[in-house]
Amino acid sequence: MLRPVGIFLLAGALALPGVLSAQDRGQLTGSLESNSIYYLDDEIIGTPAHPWGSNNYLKLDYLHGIFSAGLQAEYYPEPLAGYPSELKGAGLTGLYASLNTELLEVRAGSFFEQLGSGLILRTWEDRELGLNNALTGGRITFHTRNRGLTAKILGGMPKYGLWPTTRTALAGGDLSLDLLPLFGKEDSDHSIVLEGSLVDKFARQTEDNIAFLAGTAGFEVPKQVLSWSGRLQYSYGGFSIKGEYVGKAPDFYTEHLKRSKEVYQLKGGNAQLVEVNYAAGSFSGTLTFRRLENMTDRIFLTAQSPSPANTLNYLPSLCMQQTYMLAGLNPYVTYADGEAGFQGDLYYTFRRGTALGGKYGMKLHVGGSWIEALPFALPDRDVHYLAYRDINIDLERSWSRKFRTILFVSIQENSPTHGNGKRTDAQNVFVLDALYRFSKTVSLRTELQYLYSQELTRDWMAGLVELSFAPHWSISASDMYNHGSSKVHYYNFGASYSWNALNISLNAGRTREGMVCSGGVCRWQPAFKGVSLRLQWSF
Amino acid sequence: MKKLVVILLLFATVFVASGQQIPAVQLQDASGKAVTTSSLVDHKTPFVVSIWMTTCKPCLKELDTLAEELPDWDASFPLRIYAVSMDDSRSQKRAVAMAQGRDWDGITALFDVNADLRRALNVSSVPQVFVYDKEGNLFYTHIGYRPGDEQELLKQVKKCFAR
Repeated sequence: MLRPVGIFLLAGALALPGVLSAQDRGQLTGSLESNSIYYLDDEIIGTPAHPWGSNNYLKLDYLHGIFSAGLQAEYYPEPLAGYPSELKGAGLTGLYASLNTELLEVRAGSFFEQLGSGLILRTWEDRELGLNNALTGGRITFHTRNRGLTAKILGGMPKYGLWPTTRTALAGGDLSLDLLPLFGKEDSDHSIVLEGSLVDKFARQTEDNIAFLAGTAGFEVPKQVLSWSGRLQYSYGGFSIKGEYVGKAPDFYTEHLKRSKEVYQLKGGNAQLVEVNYAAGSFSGTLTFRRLENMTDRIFLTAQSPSPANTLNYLPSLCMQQTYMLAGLNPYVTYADGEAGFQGDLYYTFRRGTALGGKYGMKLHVGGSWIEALPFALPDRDVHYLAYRDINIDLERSWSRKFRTILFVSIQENSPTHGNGKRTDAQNVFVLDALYRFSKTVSLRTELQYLYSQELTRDWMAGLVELSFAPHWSISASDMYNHGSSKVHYYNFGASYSWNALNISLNAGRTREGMVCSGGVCRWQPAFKGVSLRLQWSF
Repeated sequence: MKKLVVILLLFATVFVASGQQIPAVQLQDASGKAVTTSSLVDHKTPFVVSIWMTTCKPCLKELDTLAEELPDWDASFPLRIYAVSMDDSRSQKRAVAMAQGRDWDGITALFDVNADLRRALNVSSVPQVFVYDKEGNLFYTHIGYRPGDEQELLKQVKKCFAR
């Protein structure tokens, strides 16, 4: 039923500009992205089942005054290895029309939405993960002129794979009150924002799920699950503090027992989040506390679909997302059944002309996190150790206008059982990242990395060389070598070209199997050797 | 599907020539207050929008370099640079802290928490910079950052002033 509606909306969106006069035909923008990999046989690391994969995206947006409309089409003749299998084929994954005035926005069709920090609801797109759970339905947003009050109601069906699912639907609302402007004190240096949200999820089970649940769970999964949240934020000058509480009505929950046994039950969920920020001069710091209890919220209620796209809220890892190759080898994945933890960062710039800053300044970052699982969520409640902790230090210094270095150290300890055993996998990563500019447009960047570990795959080393010719070309070569265990090289060669809003990159080499994480959400990536071509163009 | 793509691309080429106005989207400043992109248009001077993320090292290099260039910038071309973070709720607090702790004097940090500007500008990878003229029409854009790209960017800004 959705496809005829989609075609009708598409025809309307495309026909509209044609009826407008040539002098006032509005504005069309868009983007095209294509990622393709040809996989080569590799006896050492393995070869994906299909010899090639290709993910392709086209997005168009039309704007004319207060009216806008747009669409997104995706085409996966064969999804890239590691991407969710439900993506195979072609689909119109986004289609909308919207009226947007200063006070009111009315939108019909597909849309992305995040309420609060996303603990209660988040729909978003992440092409690294193959995730797009946009809602198809409608949303009305109202603002007062001074933005002191924002109210929103929404409803729709989440997208799963290439089309919206008709088995799950959401309805919700959100109210945000910026209290001082609301009471006429718009010039105050203080800010107090009070917000709240409600989300109601309606889910219809498949015949298979009904049979599975009747046979193993012994109860009926609720057809409707209500969630609610309250948020309060205060800021003054460089200081801000934000708190959020989320509650969820009884929902499907998998209780883990000893010896890998599982029991299904109905259980409510809740989450608490507190964030504190402070900044003064060239110093800033942030501290976050988060606690989760049965906060998994899936499009499909059962635990049968492992796809990262089967989600309706955002539960990212609390720790920092690593960007250097070796530092991201063994990432922590959120334990949404029950965990609590802290994460903090400090930034300081030693300014030019100071004793430590020297002639060109020096930047320091120190960050860390500490996460533990909640005992009731673990199979053995009497055994409770650390789930994850890390400390990360970056020191960035310019030695001259031509030469800059970054020294990075990351010390990580990750429990494979979320703390339900004494064993942790520790790894210490050291990186030296150096940039030398030969001229105003030609530069060379190198990375030297070493990972020291006595667990998992033991020691690794890695290096990268990248030569850039601004503003168009760069070429690079890199290698990750697991000299502590498998003795396998993961080499890669690449070239990239940019011209205005066009970017083309060609890469060849090996990719290690492991978790690919983006924004703290992860998917499994199999190992492969191949040649990849990526094109991005926005217009 | 292939026919649809071809039709859409032909359709796109007809309209690409149209001037692109900065889309009207709501962002946040460091204190969480709402800032609309239309308020960046002052009808007097061009401005630069740099889209960045805390996990994007080229983004940080580009903004660091622009901050270093600003003290030597010709004051007769008053330059406004807005660094718009695409970080989501996981790392937005880190983006706020980083924007202040990295000492980007002369650069205004804004935050695109729901990725509305990212989608409206069709940004598929970062960094991407946009130069808008004094009326908010797109003058120049560039994907990615290589050391030295700032020279081309600043050259385009001066051209935009002369427009």
